[in-house]
Amino acid sequence: MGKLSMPMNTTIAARATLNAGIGGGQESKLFRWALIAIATAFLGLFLFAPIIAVFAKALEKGLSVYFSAITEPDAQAAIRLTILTAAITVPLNLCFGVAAAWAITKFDFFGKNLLITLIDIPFSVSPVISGMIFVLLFGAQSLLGPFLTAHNIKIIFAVPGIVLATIFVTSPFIARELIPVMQAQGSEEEQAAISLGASGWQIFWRVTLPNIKWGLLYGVILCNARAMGEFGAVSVVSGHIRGLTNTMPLHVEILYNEFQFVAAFSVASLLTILALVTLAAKNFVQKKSRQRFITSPVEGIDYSGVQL
Amino acid sequence: MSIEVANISKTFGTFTALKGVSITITSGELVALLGPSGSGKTTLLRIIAGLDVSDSGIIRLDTEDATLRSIRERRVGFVFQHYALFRHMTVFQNIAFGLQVKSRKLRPSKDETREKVFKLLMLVQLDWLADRYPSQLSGGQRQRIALARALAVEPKVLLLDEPFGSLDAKVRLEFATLATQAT
Repeated sequence: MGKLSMPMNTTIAARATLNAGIGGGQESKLFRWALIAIATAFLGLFLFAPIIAVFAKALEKGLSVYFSAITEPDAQAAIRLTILTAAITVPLNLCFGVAAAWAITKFDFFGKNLLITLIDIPFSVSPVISGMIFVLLFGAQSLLGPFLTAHNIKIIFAVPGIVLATIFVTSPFIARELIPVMQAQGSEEEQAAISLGASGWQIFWRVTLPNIKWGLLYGVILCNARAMGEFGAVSVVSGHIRGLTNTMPLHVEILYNEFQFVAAFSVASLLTILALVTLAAKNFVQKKSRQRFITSPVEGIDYSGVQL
Repeated sequence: MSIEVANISKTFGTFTALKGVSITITSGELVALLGPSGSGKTTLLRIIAGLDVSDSGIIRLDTEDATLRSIRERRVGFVFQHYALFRHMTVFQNIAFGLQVKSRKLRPSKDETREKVFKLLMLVQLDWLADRYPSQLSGGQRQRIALARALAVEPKVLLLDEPFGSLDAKVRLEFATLATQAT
C-alpha cells in the first residue's frame, strides 16, 4: 500500500503546483497588491472622479438651479433635438445594420470585402471630417448648393444636416455588432428552414431574428448612446443656432464657453445619466444573451448548469 | 419518387468535388453513399436537395428535369450532418416549423399540427422531450428530432447527411430501423 500511495501523493503535489501556476499564484503578494492598486487608482481617476465631479458641479448651487438649467427653453430645445435625432437615426441604422450584416454573413457576392471595408469608414475617419463631407456635399458653396437654395431646402446649419451627420457617424454600430454573431451562427439553420419550405421573409422573422435579437439590442443601445452624444460631426454641420440647431453636447459646449459652469454641468449630467443607463442596459442584455437557452422549460429540473 | 443524377460536376474554386457523377435510384429504394471524407458525398446530397447548384449535369426527380427547380419545389427532406435544429425553439416548435410556414390554404390547424407533431415524436420515441430545447438534448436525441422535423412536411425523398456520424452502435441500429420505418 505504501508503495502505491507514494506516486499518488506525488501526482497530487504536482497537480497543486500546476494549478497554482495556472491560477497565477506564482507572483509575489507585493506584486499582486501593486497591480490591484494601480488598476483601482486608474479606475478612480479616469472613471469615477469625472462622474462625481460632473454631479458635484451641477448640484453646486442647489437643486433649484440645477432644474432651472435643464428646463430653460434653450436646454429643452437641445434635449428635444437630441431625442429627435436619435429617434430618426437609430431605426434607420437598425435597418441598414441588419441588412448589411445579413448580406455579408449569409451570402457570397462580388464586392463583399469592399462593403465590409466601407462599413468601417465612419469609425476610421475623424468625426470632424464626417461633418465636413456633408458641408462639401450640401453647403452653399457645393455643387448642390445653388439647387438647394433655389428650392429653399436647408440641410447644412439645419436639422436635416444634423440627422445626416449622426446617421453617418453611427452607421457601423449595429452591423459591427451583428456580423460576428451571425458569422458564428453560420447559415445551417436558415438552410434547414428553406428545406422545410419557409420563404425568405419567414426565415428572417422566425429563424434569423430570434437568433440575433440580443446582439441586435446591444447594437441598438450603443448606436443610441453615440447618436445622442455625438459632438464633432454635428458641431460642423449644426451652425450652433440656439434653440434651433443645438443638440445637448453642443449646448453643453456653448454654456461652458460662456462660463455658465453650473448650467453646463447640469445638462452634461443628463448625458452622464444616459451613459450610466446605457451601461446598465448593456450589462443586462449581455447577461440575457448568455442565459437565453438555459431557461428551464421542464419543472423540477435545473438547467442552470447547462453549458452552451 | 425516383431520382436520376446524370453526369453531375461541381468544382469549388480549383477543387473538383464531383466529376461526371451519375446514379439512378428507383422509388422506394434505400441507398447509402459510402466514401472517405472529402469524396463529395455531402456535395452530391446538397445538389440533389437543391441547396447547391451543380456546374453541369442534370437532376431528374420522377423523370422530370428538376435541375433548376428551387429547393421548396423539390419536396426533398434533408437531415443535416450537424442537425441544424433551431436553437431558440423547443423540440415541438422545431418539428411544427415546416407545417407552420405553409401558405394559409395548406396550413394545418393547431390541433392537427399538435397531433402530427406528437405522432412523429412517438415514431422517434421522444414524445417526453417536446418542451425541451435542442441544447438540452444528447446527440442521438437531436438527430432523431431532426429526422422527425424533416418528416413533418412529408417529403417525397429523404436525404440524410452522415446519419450515423455521432451515434454509438446501439443508437445506430435504432436509427437505421427508424429511418427504414419512416420510408
